[in-house]
Amino acid sequence: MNVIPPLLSMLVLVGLAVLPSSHAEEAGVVPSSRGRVVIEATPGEDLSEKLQAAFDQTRATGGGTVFLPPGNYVLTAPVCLAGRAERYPKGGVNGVTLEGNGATLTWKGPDEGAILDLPGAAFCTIRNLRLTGERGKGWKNVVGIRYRGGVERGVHGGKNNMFQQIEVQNVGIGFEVGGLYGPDLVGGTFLNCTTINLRIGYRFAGANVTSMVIINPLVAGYEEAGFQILGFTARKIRQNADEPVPPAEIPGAPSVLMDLENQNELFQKDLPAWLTAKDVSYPTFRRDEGATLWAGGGSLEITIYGLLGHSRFINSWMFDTNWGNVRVYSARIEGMGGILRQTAELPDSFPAGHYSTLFEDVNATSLGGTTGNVIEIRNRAPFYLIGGSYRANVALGNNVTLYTLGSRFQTSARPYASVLPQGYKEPLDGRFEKTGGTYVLGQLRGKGDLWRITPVEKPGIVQLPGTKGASIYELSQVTRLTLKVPKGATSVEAKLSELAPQVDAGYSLTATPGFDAGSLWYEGKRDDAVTIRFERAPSSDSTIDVTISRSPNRYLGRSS
Amino acid sequence: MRLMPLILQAVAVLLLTVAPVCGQPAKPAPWEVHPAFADLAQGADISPALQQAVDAVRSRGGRIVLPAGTYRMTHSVDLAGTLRKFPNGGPQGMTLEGNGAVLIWEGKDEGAVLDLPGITGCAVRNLTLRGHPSRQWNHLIGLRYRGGLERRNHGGKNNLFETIGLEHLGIGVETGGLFGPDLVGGTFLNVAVRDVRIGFRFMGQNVTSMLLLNPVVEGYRQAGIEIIAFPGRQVRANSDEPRQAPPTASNPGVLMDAEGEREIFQSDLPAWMSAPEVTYPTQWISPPGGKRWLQAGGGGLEVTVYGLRARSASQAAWAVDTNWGNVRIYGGEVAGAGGVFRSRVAMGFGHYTTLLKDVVAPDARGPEGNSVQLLGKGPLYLLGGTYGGQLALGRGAEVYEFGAVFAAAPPVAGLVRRYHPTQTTRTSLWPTPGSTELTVAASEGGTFLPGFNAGGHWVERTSTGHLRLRWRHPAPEGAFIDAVLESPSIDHP
Repeated sequence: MNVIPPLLSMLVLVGLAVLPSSHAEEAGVVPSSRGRVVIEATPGEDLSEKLQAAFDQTRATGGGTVFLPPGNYVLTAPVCLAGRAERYPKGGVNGVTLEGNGATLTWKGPDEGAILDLPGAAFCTIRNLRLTGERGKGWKNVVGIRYRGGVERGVHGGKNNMFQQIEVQNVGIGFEVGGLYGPDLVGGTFLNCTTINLRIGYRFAGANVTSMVIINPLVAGYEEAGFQILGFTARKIRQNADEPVPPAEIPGAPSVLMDLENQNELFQKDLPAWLTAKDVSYPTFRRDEGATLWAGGGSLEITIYGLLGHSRFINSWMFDTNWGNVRVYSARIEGMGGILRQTAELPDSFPAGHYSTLFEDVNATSLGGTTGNVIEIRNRAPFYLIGGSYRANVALGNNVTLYTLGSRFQTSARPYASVLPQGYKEPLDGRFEKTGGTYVLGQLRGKGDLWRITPVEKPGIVQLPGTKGASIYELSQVTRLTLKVPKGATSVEAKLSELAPQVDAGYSLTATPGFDAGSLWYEGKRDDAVTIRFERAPSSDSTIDVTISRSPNRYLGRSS
Repeated sequence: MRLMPLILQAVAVLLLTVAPVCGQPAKPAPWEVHPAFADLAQGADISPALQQAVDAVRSRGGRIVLPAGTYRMTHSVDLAGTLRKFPNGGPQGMTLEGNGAVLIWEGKDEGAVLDLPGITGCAVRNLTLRGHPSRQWNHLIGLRYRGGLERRNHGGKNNLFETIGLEHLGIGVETGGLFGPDLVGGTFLNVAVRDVRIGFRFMGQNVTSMLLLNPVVEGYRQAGIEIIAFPGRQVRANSDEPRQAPPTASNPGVLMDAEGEREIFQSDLPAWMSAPEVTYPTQWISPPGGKRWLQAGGGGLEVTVYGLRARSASQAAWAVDTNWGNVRIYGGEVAGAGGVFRSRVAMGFGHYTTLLKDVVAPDARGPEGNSVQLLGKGPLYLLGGTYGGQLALGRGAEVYEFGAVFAAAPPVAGLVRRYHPTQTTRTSLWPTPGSTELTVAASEGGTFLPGFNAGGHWVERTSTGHLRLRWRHPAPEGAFIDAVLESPSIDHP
């Protein structure tokens, strides 16, 4: 009988000692110290369950580091850094690091959802990892890493997360940040990340998705966009399709809640209950004395340092946004698509114009994608174009303001052929000549149609067709010449041979004679010279001072 | 016997208290720490153990965690593994966690302390490499990130070098190579280089997306950051093979070593590089009617630096020295006597630009009194910043300057464009046919020249700050007038 108390104690001991890590003690997951979880696996193994169990463990310990073993592994189910929703139905994930150790995870699940999901993440890190879809599958929708609010867990924010040395390839979207409701995501740093062969490299969506800094990214082989940036207006969340549709705040922007692809409407029944509660105020809210439910809207901005980009898809854009803002400091972008497109023309009342778009030392070799424009701006928030070189037009919409300093527009010595994948829809305003030839697409494993692009002959800053009122504030190159006027002459030629040659005669002249010349005017303005005429000839040899003012950014260049 | 229950209960309570806090003892993963480090004493030669550790993880990737402390190195360590064991390809996803270790080089003044051929997705972190302070090193390289030709590999990408100290070396970091390696993406975060001949050297073609974040380069004798671009160069079979072109200041015409001192012949290359079918990174050129010859590829490269701190006591040293490569510096301080930026070779316009933004160098004057010296055409963008010396430009050089301050004389040659705080708008006006006046907005005035015989023209200032331009002869059909209008500042519409 005396033995029973100690035995009971031992049983209690064993039971309690085991309990805290019961979820983690699944095969191959070694909780070697508090918060330190080392995954053991054999190459080729499906790690979905082990990895999820590891994140369940770090969620239980309130943070920690999960170590992947080096090598190639498979995932067949999405993995959530916040732990399994059924075990952890509330709250986000805090202070969890995934050390990839250079491992490659190949996705063999369906073309939907996210491979690594980070709802409500704060102070988390994912490092040194490669995520890849199966090459040739042509994934369109599955997301490599999704950093979002986490509305299903009653959380709607995240901050200060780090994504470092990650390569995502052969999936639909590399990184998706934000969501439909303006999640409060503050601070995301993407350092040395690579996205290759995807539909979209990075997608940023929502309002208050801010301080997103991307350092030294390589974005290549994007079919649709390198960076897609989606701002939202307030959108009505209807109970059903019978509820009236409100007018759009911005022409072309949806006034009801649509999914991120803008294809399917989301109704109240599709949302977690707390988002549709009577007292909800954020991220959805009620208007008209609670009669109508709305999703919040706003803008967002991202900053990029040192971009290297490449896409051979003509109809792609490196930056494709409705009215989101982007700042790019130094970039080298090669390939054939457009560089920046802002599609929304915001009304004056819309507050998204606080932030500006800035391209500083962005160098692009594209001939202008489908439109002949490498940049198309409709958002009237100021656009700053500093330095850089372009081979096609920068086109501005209604009343857009552009400040430019020394950006160069070069002509290209030759047009080049491009190959479009089969099934490509010809743009209505395209400027291609279809040759009828076909070409084998190495990476897409199929044939494409051969097209020929006509380069813009004299690239520069232009007004978008059908718009007016753009303002361009630019550096002017001012050159002063003193021309000798022989006695008896009534004209003199000003040669521009000392100046860098430009593609056209886009300069202005002013002149002051050193004698009583009567009326003074010019004739025959050419790109290399202009004739100054005057009514009265000088009675002795004299001079005329001429000032030539021109934009410095259109010059005769040559493609390499 | 009566004590047993109490003891057992006490043990149970103790374990219950401790277990949730400590969990199980830390268990190293098999790929994490190599046993070779286990018995390594402080001050021991770590080279063999480190190479063994690299070889152990080379084929599968993994993490090498150095033991903290100070160790000696006598032999270069190849992060692609011992060549004999790993004759092909480069490593992927390998991390060298330095743990704050200090490795002191006691080998020869040649090669690299850590050699990184053809690496992808690798990281080197938290480590100091130091040449023995007993001598001055000229050729020894701390970290060498390169293509890896000896393994038939010629590329690397997406590597990270973080919190590294490089001291008493010939060259702190050397990136690239002679043949245009495909090195895409290298981030150098918080790397400090001190007491070297050259801090960072970047060379080759397609060496791109090299990003230096918050680097410190101090005590460089020749250059803080050296950027060497290459033209196409002939790789001769031997010195008897005729040169395809005579040497010039910008192009020796034949393949030289990185220092430009010694010619490299075909016999010096791996055999595959001079094989008949080779197309990259060398290629055979077959001119019509001429004898075919082997060429090493050429091209430019660019480097981007955020938050540079450079300091040198040598006036002959340059913080950034290049033949015609491009560099962008966003914010920096260059202290000491040497110049800030020099491009040595006159080249035409390239696709990529050189940009110096907010670089503060109040004492930098260089050997000829120049802070910035641009022999190539540029363009060079100077946005803000303070320079103690001159801006010296070669013929045809083009500079866009916005608010940069040069304490010494103004630019000495070339074409400099200044952006004035007054907004000057150049435009053309289209007068209505038959008209003799039009009104324009230009609060600070304007100058005009008609494109037709206007019989004289003049302006009147209106009470609203506009200018009314008038002329004598009615404007003909299709006439226009050139105008330069000035406003005091840019008004946001």
